[in-house]
Amino acid sequence: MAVQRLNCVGEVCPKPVISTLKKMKSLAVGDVLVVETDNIASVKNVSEWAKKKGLPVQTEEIAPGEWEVYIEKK
Amino acid sequence: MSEAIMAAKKEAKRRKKKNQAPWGLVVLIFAIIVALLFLPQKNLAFSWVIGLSFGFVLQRASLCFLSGFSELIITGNTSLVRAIIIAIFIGSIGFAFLQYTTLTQTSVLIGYVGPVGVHTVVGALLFGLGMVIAGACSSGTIMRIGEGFLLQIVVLIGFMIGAFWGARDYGWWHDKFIAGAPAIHLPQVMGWPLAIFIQLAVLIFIYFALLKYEEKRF
Amino acid sequence: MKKNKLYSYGTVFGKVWPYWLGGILLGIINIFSLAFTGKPLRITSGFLYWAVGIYEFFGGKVADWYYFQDVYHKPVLQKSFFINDTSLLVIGAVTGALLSVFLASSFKVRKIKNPKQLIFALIGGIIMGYGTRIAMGCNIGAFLSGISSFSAHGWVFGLFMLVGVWLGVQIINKYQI
Repeated sequence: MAVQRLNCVGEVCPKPVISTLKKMKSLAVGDVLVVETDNIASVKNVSEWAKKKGLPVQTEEIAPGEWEVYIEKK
Repeated sequence: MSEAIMAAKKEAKRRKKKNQAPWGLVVLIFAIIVALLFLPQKNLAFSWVIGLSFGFVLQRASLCFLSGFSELIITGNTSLVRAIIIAIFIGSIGFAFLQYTTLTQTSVLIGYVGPVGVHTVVGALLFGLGMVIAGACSSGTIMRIGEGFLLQIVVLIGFMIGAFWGARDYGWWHDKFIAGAPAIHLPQVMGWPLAIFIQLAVLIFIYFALLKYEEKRF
Repeated sequence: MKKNKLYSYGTVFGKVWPYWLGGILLGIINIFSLAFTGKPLRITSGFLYWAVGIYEFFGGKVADWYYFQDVYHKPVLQKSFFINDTSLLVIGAVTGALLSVFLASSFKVRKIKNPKQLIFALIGGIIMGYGTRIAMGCNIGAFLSGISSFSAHGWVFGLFMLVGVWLGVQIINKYQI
């Protein structure tokens, strides 16, 4: 199990979703991708995408206006 | 909860969250003062209050139109576009009532009914393309400026330049395309009952078609 | 796990509302806008008025532009380009968003990442702005309010805006912007 990070801080839609989709392909099953973003719209659409894909996902606001989205590849 | 995610969460570099609600109170007081200031001019006061609630709802529900449309294409997630369809559906019902009553009482057509033609196609294509390149739509720009994005101030400057340029060229577009283009108000073409029925039926159809499309993509 | 109550402060202001709720409220606000101000929701005309206001401040003249001969845009010439209903609606929306962010304690000054982002924001903005003038509106004015007004131009705008977005996504994917 490995943790990979994707830094999307400062990026606006639709960039974070595109990058997340690309990055997820390079993960092995059981790995976790952490998407770092400060765009609330991206938090919403990245986590919704994962949820609809049936992947375990969690979001947390780690600092004012900064979020991390955790997605496990299955 | 997934154990892998639990482990990953331990690495998060958390910073303490400051309570910004007092600043919210300052903004609220400012908003009320402005509303009172414009009270003698009812139209301006109403516009201000409606603008406030508009921006509040956009941000709270994070209704970024661009993210909705681009997701429709990139991931196939349609929940945001479906929310916009709901907004149009509800709007249509209210607009129909308001348009019908003012039209019969004062014979003035309210709302936005514009000429449709080549210029609409070109303008819409440019808008859609520009939106993705800039990473913001018009509603996104105003709510992101509120969120503190400096980038969106640049988009706003670009927006102002482009709108200025477009308005300057408007005469040319008008002579070539807009003057000959009809403004089609559906109820005046097919009558109110049919227009309302068709529009609402089409919106419902689009809603469920989007649901089906989403099921297929996921 | 701690569960928030439905009407607690945290649920109303701390969390993001679901899209559908935002959609319902947006539709209602649009109806209020038409009922109480006589015009539906719109944004980009406000941006234009500011640009024109700045231009006039530096001595430019726009009164003879064809654009301002239009019945819809002519009244603004008699008023101020900064204090008018559209302008207040847009500034109100920015203020409303700011209020919402503060109540959620999520405000942060988000810096521009690199010069490339800045250039694309500017170019994209210019393309969008030009498009709104000839298509008579943006996502809000032409698409949301146009279709709600039973106008054919709203439907056409929506369709080709989607084509434009598709094109833009292809470009971004190809050139890794």
